[in-house]
Amino acid sequence: MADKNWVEILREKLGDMIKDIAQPRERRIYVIVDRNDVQEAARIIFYDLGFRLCTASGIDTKDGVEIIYHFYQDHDRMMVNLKTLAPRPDLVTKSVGAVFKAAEWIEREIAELFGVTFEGHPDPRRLLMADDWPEGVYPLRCDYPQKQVEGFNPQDIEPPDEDATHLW
Amino acid sequence: MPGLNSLKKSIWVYHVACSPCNNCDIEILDLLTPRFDAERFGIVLVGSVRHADALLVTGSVNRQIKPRLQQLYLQAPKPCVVFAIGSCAINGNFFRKSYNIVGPVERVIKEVDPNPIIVYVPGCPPKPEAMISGVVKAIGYLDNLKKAKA
Repeated sequence: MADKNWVEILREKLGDMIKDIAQPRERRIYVIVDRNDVQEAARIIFYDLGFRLCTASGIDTKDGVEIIYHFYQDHDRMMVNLKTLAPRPDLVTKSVGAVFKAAEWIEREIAELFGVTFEGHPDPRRLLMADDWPEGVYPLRCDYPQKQVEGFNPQDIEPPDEDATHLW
Repeated sequence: MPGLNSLKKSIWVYHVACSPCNNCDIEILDLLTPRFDAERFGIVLVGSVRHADALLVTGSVNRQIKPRLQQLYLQAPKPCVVFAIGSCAINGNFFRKSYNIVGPVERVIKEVDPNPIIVYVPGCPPKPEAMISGVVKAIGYLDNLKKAKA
């Protein structure tokens, strides 16, 4: 709600980790932090201020992969979006899943679709992609050709045997 | 296809959801509840594929579900009719060029069975009246098949 000034509260809690902060609408705040500070910032927003994590999203831009964590508070109806950048060419950033469990799975999904490495993630496996999807092919990057990568056709799967009666 | 006589009345269906958006699944459930009431014809949703006369396939077939869909088709006792419900099952709708979509249901099932019986019910999602019309046309087609063989 509009009676608390969340920009001021965030400035005093996060201090000089904030690179930029903006409130374009009444209930949306965008905070940009550096990739080394994102664990500490997420810990403060989640534990001290009482927000909950909704989801995280990733965008492939020319500087790297931007990752935004969306936090929301039900009591005051305020949404805080925490933005970091994992710069090219190595695409590495610190993991928020190491701080609280809510971000574990969404970081696994961003890692398998964009190729971002999250340092300190407790369980960096694949989440949703098929087990025989090749390593190093990241479909949501801007330079992924839509249907075919050379030497790899996503439709090449062998059918099961004629007398296969076992259950999966 | 052996034993087409058993497919005339009271078809038991098994629902296979291959990564749908779940709109088609909601419409299938609408079909079986008392408003459109397909259960008065004896069409029952079963829990095991070994009891199924028909497979209701919704959603577009992707990489992970393709061997499982083929396995389910092989496990269903023949004769078995495949109903491809919704545009995603028929041709992938607007997901057809995605990185994970393997092909329409027709191509996936024809790899294991060269002449299946597939009934297409288009729509996004199809209305329950459209699904009833599809079932009625399928029963009529099977009747003609039996008469042509006999």
